[in-house]
Amino acid sequence: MLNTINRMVMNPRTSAREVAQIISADPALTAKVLQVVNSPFYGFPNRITTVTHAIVILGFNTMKSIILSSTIFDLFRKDAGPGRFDRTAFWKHSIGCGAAAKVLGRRLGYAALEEIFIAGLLHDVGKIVLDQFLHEPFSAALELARRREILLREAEEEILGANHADVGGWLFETWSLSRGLVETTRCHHNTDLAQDHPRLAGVIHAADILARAIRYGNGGDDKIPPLREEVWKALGLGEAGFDDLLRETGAEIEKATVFLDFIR
Amino acid sequence: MKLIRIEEARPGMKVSRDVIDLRGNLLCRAGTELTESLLEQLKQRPLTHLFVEVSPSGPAEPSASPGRSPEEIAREVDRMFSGADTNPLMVALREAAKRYLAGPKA
Repeated sequence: MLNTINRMVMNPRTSAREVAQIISADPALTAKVLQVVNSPFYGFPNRITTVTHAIVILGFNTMKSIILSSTIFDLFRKDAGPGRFDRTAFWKHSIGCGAAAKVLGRRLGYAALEEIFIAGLLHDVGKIVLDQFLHEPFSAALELARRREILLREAEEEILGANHADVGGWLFETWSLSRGLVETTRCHHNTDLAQDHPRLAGVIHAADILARAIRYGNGGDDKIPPLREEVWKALGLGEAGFDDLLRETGAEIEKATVFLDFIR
Repeated sequence: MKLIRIEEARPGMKVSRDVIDLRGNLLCRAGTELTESLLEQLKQRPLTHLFVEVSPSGPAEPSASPGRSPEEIAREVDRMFSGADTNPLMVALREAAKRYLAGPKA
């Protein structure tokens, strides 16, 4: 599905109706798309009842983002087995990061706020991949992080020799997703690795930390990595004003809780 | 205002926006208090969510930490930040997080 949509969106001759036909063939996806576009996340005054209408209003790229996140939530819906990884808490943290990214993006004057939200929402996708396919070593990393009170990323590196950011970046690259999404996922802990979109990676780096500070959900560890001063300076947000940022993020989370329904 | 699933709706809650089903039918107006029978009717409709008013005692924001004193919150936040508060930004964020999580001053 994602591949089909991706191809269609790349083609300048694709019409909204054609994309709508593909989506409408999948009733579960149609329901999700309509649920999201009618949620307070977008806050349209009138009810949107058809996928075509949704595409016309939101545009192809936003629709692609909704489908991408819905697909990922779907693929990794079930818990991988007994273990310490709480996927509901994980998705909550992801929503928190998306919300914070949107708040930062708005401050910085980005136009594509939905895409920034999605980049935040999916920044930790590598953790889900690890939980799914390397369940035992990943569980051991969670346990190590808890016992030693270190970051999960550090524990992963110690046990697996790679971290969730590497894995997530690799996954998105394999799926031919946008460079921006690949780099925000791969570089959210180490923005120096970003070659094409260091600023966007910086936004997600900061958003992850704001989301942890707000303690909504949990990404698998209970520690907070330091916000890199040079990244914050490069973003040009100056004298932080963290109180406002946290409050705005909290309000944005309220609007985005519709994404939690994706995993039910 | 809070968005809840229809299954979570209980009599006595007040809807804070017009309730409209997926087909666009208006089911009840903002401000209506839910009753047992109204809820039964709503559950028959193609409707997944509705907005309700949040009671003053209920958590208004997802981050609210019910039942925790500001001191406990401060301790948890300190533990989370320990080792990471190496620059002035993180110190400022840590203190802002404590204020945010403790909620608005009564």
